[in-house]
Amino acid sequence: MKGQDGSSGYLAVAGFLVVLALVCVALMVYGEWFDRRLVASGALGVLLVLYAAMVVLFRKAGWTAEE
Amino acid sequence: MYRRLLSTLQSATLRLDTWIHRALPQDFNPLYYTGGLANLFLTILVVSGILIFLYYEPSLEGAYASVEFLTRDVPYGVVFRGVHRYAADAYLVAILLHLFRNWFTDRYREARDSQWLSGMFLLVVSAFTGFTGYLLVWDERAQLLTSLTVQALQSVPLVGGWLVRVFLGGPGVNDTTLPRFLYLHVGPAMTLYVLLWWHYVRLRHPKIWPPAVWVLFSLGLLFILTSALPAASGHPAQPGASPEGFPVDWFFLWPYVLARWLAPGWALALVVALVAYGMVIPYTVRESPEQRGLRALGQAVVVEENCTGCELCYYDCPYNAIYMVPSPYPGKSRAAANRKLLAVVVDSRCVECGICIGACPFEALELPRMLDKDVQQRIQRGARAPAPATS
Repeated sequence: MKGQDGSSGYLAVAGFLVVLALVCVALMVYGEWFDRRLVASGALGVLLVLYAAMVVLFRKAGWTAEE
Repeated sequence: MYRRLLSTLQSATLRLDTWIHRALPQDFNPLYYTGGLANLFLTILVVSGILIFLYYEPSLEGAYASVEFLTRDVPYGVVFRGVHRYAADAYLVAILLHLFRNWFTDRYREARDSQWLSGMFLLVVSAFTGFTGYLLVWDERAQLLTSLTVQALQSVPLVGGWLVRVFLGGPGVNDTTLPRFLYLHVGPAMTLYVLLWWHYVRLRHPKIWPPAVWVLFSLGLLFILTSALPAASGHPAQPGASPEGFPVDWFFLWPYVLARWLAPGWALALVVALVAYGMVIPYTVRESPEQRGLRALGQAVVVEENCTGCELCYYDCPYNAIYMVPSPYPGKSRAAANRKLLAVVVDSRCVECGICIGACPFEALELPRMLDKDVQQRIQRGARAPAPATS
């Protein structure tokens, strides 16, 4: 794993997305608990999109598993 | 005029790639994976379709109620239904993007006509499968679509009545109609995999799956759409009623919008004409390779005494035109003396591209009209030619 110069901006955004992802997880639990399943599935959808965005940000920051 | 339009669209497509690469790493460009994305959505459709199928009752009395039961009472049933519905739209969008990109970038000519034709069949069968999915709900929209389809089929000369009976399972809507619709939904969906085999059979390295980032994004988008705009039925179909309007799905039901201005028969004729034009696009290119300044090089030939059975050409040929077979006798060269396999060129698939020649380190393949001596002659001719004037 390696980083690139100027990658801190990307990683800061990724960190913010991680916080949003945790909110989504909380919403999923809420949706399941209170039988609001459309809320749960919407939160799952946002969570997956956030994961995709994080993968892109990590790549742009140079944080990859490649040599 | 037509060529100029295609040339402009090609430039626009390539410029779009450049813009995307400014925002995303090059291997994340979604337009490189439109075929893989279509496969992803097809897989989602099959999985969600199987789950929905468990609850569906194909009868005039029970179809609507079973869909409503799935939507309201089955845990996450509304989500499965929504994902199935939006994955169908996304699937068609991915196919259309794939089609237009390959059309605009000239990837449909000559050796690729097989991919183009199979792709057109995939598009037609997919669109028909999506359309029959709307009928299964058996609400007012399904009733109106059935009525318009029957009118369109009846207007077909000679076989119109027969087509209506095939479509409805009788001369009119009856007890076998919904099971027939279910078959017309599931049956063509299964043939999609046969068509996919045809689509891939001549390709060595097809991108059949998008990168994980697009899998995550696509799945996420489907769940978001499902939650924001849950799939819902209209009023239940009433025997003898003639509903007038319906919520339009522009991806699958656009031919029915034409029925506002055209008789259903003419709308059907327009769709058939569009599909027929799509099928012949690869054959509308008039220039032969020679007319475009490309020399016919002849199909690749294996020089059997040199082939070592190393399989490099087999893996490199993008058209699946080389097969490895057990070698019936040893090669003559030292390297080929102990070979176990021998390369064989499938003539009907070879496009004379020469990639296998570059792949082979043992001089065991050649293009009969581009031998070593031809290449040397061209180099010598080039060396003798006067240097281009420089300003």
